[in-house]
Parts: sequence; C-alpha cells; structure tokens
Amino acid sequence: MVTSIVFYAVAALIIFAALKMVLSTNLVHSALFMAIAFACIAIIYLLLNADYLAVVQVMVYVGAITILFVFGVMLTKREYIEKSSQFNRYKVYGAIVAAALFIVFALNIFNAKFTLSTAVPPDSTINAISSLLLNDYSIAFQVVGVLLLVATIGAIVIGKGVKSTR
Amino acid sequence: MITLQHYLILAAILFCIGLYGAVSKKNAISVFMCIELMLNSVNINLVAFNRFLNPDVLAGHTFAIFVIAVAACEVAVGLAIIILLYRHRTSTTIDDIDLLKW
Amino acid sequence: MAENALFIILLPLLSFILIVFLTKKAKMLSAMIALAAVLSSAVLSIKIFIEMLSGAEAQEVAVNWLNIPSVGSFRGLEIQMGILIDPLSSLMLVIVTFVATLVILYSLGYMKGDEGFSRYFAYISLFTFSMLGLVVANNYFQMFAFWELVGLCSYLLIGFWFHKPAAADASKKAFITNRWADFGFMTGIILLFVKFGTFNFGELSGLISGASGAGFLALIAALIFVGPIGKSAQFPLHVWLPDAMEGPTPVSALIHAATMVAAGVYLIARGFILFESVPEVLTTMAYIGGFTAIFAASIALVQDDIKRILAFSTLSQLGYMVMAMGLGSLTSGMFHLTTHAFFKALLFLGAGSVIHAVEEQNIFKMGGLKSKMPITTWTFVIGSLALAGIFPLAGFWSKDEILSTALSSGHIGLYILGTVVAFMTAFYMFRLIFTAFFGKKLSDYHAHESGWVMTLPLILLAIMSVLTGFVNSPWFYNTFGKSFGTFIFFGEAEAPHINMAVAGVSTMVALAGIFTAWLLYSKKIVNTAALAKKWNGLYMLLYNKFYIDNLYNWAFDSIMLVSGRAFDWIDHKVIDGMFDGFARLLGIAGRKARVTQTGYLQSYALVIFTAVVIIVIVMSTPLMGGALK
Repeated sequence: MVTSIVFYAVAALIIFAALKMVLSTNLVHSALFMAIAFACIAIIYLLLNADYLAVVQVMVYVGAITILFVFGVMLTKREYIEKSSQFNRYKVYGAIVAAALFIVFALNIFNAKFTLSTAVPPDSTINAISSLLLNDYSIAFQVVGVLLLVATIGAIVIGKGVKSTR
Repeated sequence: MITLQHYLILAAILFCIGLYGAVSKKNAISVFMCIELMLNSVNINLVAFNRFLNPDVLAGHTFAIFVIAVAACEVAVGLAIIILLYRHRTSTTIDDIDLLKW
Repeated sequence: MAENALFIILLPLLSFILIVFLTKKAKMLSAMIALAAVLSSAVLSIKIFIEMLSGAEAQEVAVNWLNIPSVGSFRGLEIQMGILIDPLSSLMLVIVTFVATLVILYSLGYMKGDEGFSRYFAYISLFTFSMLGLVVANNYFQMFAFWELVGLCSYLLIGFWFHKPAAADASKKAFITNRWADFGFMTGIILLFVKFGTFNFGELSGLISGASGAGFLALIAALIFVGPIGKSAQFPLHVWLPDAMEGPTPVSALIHAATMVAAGVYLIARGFILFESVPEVLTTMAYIGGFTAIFAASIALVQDDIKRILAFSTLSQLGYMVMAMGLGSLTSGMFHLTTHAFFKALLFLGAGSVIHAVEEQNIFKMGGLKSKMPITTWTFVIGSLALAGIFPLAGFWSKDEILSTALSSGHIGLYILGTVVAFMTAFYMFRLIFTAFFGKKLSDYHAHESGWVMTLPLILLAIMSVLTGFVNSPWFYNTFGKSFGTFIFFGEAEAPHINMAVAGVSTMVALAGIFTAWLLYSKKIVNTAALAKKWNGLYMLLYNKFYIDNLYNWAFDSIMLVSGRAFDWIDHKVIDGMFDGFARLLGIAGRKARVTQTGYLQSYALVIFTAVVIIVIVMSTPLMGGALK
C-alpha cells in the first residue's frame, strides 16, 4: 500500500523532472532537473530492494556526473543563459517518433507474458554483488577499472589541449 | 500492487523522453544530458527484471553497476571534448561543428 | 566445271579489290587489270559453255553459309551459297562476260582523260562480279543478295559523274525505285521459305509441282515478279531507266541494255516453275510486258536525245521479253534476251562513239555523220536492222518467235500489240538514223571516226548481231541436230520452225516502218515540226513520258515526305521524349532523394529510431513470433 503511493509519487516526480529537463531552454535549469531525476531514481532502486545500487546512484550520478555537467555549462560560456538550449528543426518529428516508440513499447510490455518468480531477494545485496563481481565477472570488473583509468587520462589530455608552440 | 509492468512502463517513458531530447536539442551538453537519462532508464529496466524474474542471482545489479561506470567515463571524456570544441569555435551548438562539411 | 565457275566469278572481284586498294593512281594499269580479269572470265565462260553444249550434265556446288537448326516448333534456317551450272546459267555467263569485255575495251577509249578513270574500272569490275554471282546462284537468297549488289553498282555507275546534279538524282532514283521492287521480291522470297522451307531452286522445283494452296502460291509468284518489274523496268517502275542515261554510255551499254536489266528476265526464267504453276500470274506478266512494250515505243517516237531513244527502245524490248515469258515460252524469252544483248550493246556503243566525237546528244543537231564516221554509221545501221527485225538478222528470229508464240497461244490482242510495236520500233530507229547519220549537217560540229579501241567492239558486236539469230533457225537445226530451243527450254525442247504468215507480216510491218521514216525524215514530204504543233497535246504527252515522272514526284512529295515528316516527329518527340523523359525522371528522383542526406547527425538518429519503431512493430506481430495481435 505504502509502496504503491511512494512509487506513484516518485514516478510522477521523475517524469515531471525529465520533461522539464528536456523542454527547458535554460541549461542550468536542465542540469538541476536532471539531478532531481537522478535522486528520485535512487528511491526507485530502493523500492526494488537494490540498496547498494541506490547509494551508488546517488554518489556517482548526483554527486559526480551532475557536477561534471555543471562544470561543462560553466566553462562553455555564452551570451544568454536563458536561451542556451534551443530546439532544432526536428522538434515535432522527434516528438512523434518518441511517442510512437513509447506506444510500441507499451503494447509489447502489456502483452508479454512474464514468468514471475517467487524467490526472495537476499538481505545484503552488496555481498551478492561483490561475490558476483569478483568471481563470475572478475574480468569485466578489471576491464572496467582499466577503462576508468583510460577515461581519466583521456579527459585530462583532451582537456589540456595541444600546445600551439613548441 | 506494483508489478513488473509498472517499472517497465516507467523506464519506457524515461527512455522516450530522453530520446526526444537527444534528437531535438541544439546544444551539445543538452544532448548529453538526455543520453544520461536514457542510460538511467535502462538501469531501471535491468534492476526491475532482476527483482521480479530472478531475485536470487543479482546479475542485473551487476550489469547496472557496469553501466554506471561506463556512463561516468563517457561523461568525462565527452565533456572534455565539448570543452575543447568550445575553445576552438566559441560555441557548443551542434550546427556550428561543421568543419568537415563542404 | 563448277570450280572454273568460281574463278569466273572471283576474277572480276579480285580486279575490283586490286584497283581500289593498290592501283588507283596508275590509270592504265587499272584498266588493264580489269580487262585481263574479265577477258579471262570470258574465256573460261566459253569453255564451260562448250562443255554444256556437248552434253555435260548440270552441276551444282554449294556450301552451307548459315545453318540454324530447328528447335522444337521453330523451323530452322539453312542458307547456302552455291554455284549452279546448267544451260541457262552457262549461256548467261557467256553473254555477260563477252559484252563486259567489249565494253571495257571500248571504255579504254571512251573514258580517256576522265579523272575518275580507275574508279570507273573498279566499279565495272564490281558490277561484273555481282552479275556473274547472280547468274550462277543456286538459291533465291544468294540471287537476292547479288541482285541488291547489282543495284548498288548501277547506283555507283549511273552517278559516276556525281558532281552533276542530274546524275546524282538519277542514281538515287534508280536505287529507290529498285528498292520498292526489291521489297516485294524479298517478301516473296520470305513467304516462299515459309511455305516450302528452302531457297534452293532444285529443291523447290520438286516441292512446287505438287504444292497445294494455289492462292498463297499466286501471292508468292506475284510478289517475286515485282522484283523483275523494278529491275527490268516494266510499267509502273520503269521511270528510272531513261534517267539512268546520265551515266557514261558504255555503262548504259553494259548495264542498262545487255545485262542488269536482263537479270529480271533471268529470274523469271530461273523460277519459271513457280510462275508456270500459277497461270493467272503468267497472264498478268504477259499483259504487263506487252503494255510496257507499246508504252515505251510510243514515247520513243518523239524523243530527240539519242540515248533516250535507245533507253525507251530497251524498255520496249524488255517488255517483249517479259511478254514472251508470260506467254509461257521460256525459250523465246531467253532467245530474245540473247540477241537483244548483242544488238542493243552495239547500238549504245555506237551512240557513245557519236557522242564522243560530236559532244552532242540531240539528234537534230547532228546529221550527215555518214561521211565522217563510216564504221560507226554502218554498224549502227546493222544494229538497227537487227532491232527492227529484218530477215536474216538476229532480231528477226527472236521477235518472230515471240509473235508466233503469242498467236499460237490464243492471245490475239498481244499479237497485234507486238506487231504494232514492231512497226514503231522500226520507225523510231530509222528516224534516228536518217536524222543523225544521213542527210545534211544540221549544226556546226567536229567529227572524226573513233580509234580502233572503240570501233573494234562495234564490229564484233555487229557480226554477232548478224549471226546469233541463226542458232534458232531450222537450217541450223537440220544441220547440227541442235538449236537454241533444244538447249534452253522448259518442259520439253522446242525445235525451231518458222510460221510463214507471222514472219511475212512482221517483215512487211518493219519495212513499212523504215519506209515511213524515210519519207518523213529523209525525203521530208511532211513537215514534222508542223505536225508536232498541230497535234500538240498528244506530242507533249508523249514527249513528257505520259507525265508519269511528274505524277510520281507529286505522290512522293505529298505522301512519302509527309509521312516521313510524321514519323520523324514521332521519333523525336515520342521515342526520344520517352528516353529523355526517363533520364529526367531519374534526375528528379535523385534530387528528391538527396534531401535525406542532411549531414545532420540528429536527423540520422531520427531515421534510425523510426526504423527501430517499424522493426519492433514488425517483430511483435504474431507472424514474427511476437505476442501482439
């Protein structure tokens, strides 16, 4: 009962935030609404018994990525911040395609037959996740580590720019 | 009673909104933000499926963690590129990035 | 024997190739090559002829030129190239090569100083090759191919002095008129093949005799006869022959008197079994021939150009030949062809000698040539007597045969017509002689006898004109047991005999013609000019060749050119428009399709997602295993 109310409220909030994020022409507003959406998605994770993932979501997305976006907005200055995020000529056509895609997804979702399982999720997700990460998916784990390193170095190199004179 | 379909529909809505933003915004950073939204909706999908179809093995969570990690890398590098572009062209509008066009 | 025939045909072709590619600059050498080639062919032809005379069997050699086998219900096509040596073709070989040799010898003198000297001999060699190939052909297809080739050579030779507009027009007229005839001929041959499945004369003769479907056969025979109507210049396709006189006179002698125009008659003789099985076509042929004879003779009465008179005379005699064939007598037709070849060639060469000396073609500007050019004059007189049919010269025997055939087959009308034409023939020929050769000089000209190169052929032909007739006379038959009629015949051999009544009437009629001409043009008892003025309408009608040329011109302008313009419009606007429009359509489609290439990333993304939507819809239908209805 409570979960239903919470779910519907949070879902509404997410959708509202997402819509505002897309429809707003102010970049900073977009970033703000994006942060709200991310935070509410963390609550959704909690509803799904994914406690570790919720925390990771908040830490990484809200804490880091949103800040990154704000930095990006800050470093790319322009004249009018209110008009910084305009629409291009595919405003209407894109809406039609998105709506069509949603309708198709919805139809499929409602007509699909899922075999729901009656098992119980584990108490401590972090134990299960860590055992999976370090045993079954250890290679992928290591690769993601390397990827993070590469991305960091790459971002620094690109951000620094090339010296124009030697 | 919140069933699997609820979460899936929520994810679908988010995905479509993100898609709409990705194709119709002029600013590169806006497009980026919408892409992040799409990635998040995929995450919701993964976790929901895991929770309702096979809660024993948390493969969905693991996958979602990987998605988050890769998304973070992508944002870092992508924003670095956008800032570099801004330095050269003093604009982040996608239309203005047309050096390769004749 | 047939191998020799191959040489006979190929030597003139070799001469043509040599002259065109090698010796064009060396004029005398070219002429000698031509003369040597045709002379050798003549010698070989005489050899073959003697062999045939002494009773050799007819021989046929052929190679398969095109062989498309029958597949299922599609009938195959088999075309041969071959040589057929039998009495008919061996006779024609001798005639063609003999006259060609004399003409080439004559041309050495006539064409001297002309800048197209080598070209002339090249064309004459090519013509000789074509005519010989036509004569020995063993199937209709090969004959048609050489028929066309002969037409081409005629075009080249008539228009020899091509910078003269009249000559260029005349050559075109000849070719186009023959094209009309050849179209009918070709259709006839194709239908023949459709019905019988072969072109070969020998095979056809077996198939035709027992053939059914008389109507179809009549159509085929009529169509094939259209060929000779054009080539042998019968009415209504006779219009090209008078204009063909624009070519050099030896050409007129060779082509338009002795050989090419005889090709039509030869074709009728070759395919006689086809015509004989359809009597209606034969009768039509006889009447067309007879009408042509009198039609042409009447025009010749009032012409004043020496070559035109001879041209219409040729037309008239060709009418005789076709009439003879039409009456069912192959022997008399071929006999007249043989004698006509000799004396008409003689007449033309004589006229050429006169023209070469006087440089004038109007007979009323000549007169009194007898004293200056005796050999020419007397050979010309011999030729005219032969043409008029005076005993015992060649024309008497052949014309007599035709007239008696007409009488004995019951066609009294044609007999009377033939006799009237005999009168007119004698009249106009001697009108020419009395005006041009005898009497006073009518204008100022310089004349001298031509050299031996030109007079030797005249003398030889004059001898032939005298002697050739005897081969079909009873004395010859009684002496040697053979005659023309036993050598060349259809059905059974015809022993010669003279119908005294017919012979008497025709001789009297010819003498009457000569006498009338003498009265009018030598004694001048009546002023012919005043006579012409009094009967002006008739005179103009005859002088302008019954205005047939004007009629054809008008028909051509109003029908052919108009329809030609219509087809041209269709070609330009409709057909070209279709293709241009197609190309333009492609351009438009391209321009419209270019719009999708925006170079804009987000539009590409939109297209991708549109595709995704469609794919998901497609894949979720029950056909693809999805769950949606």
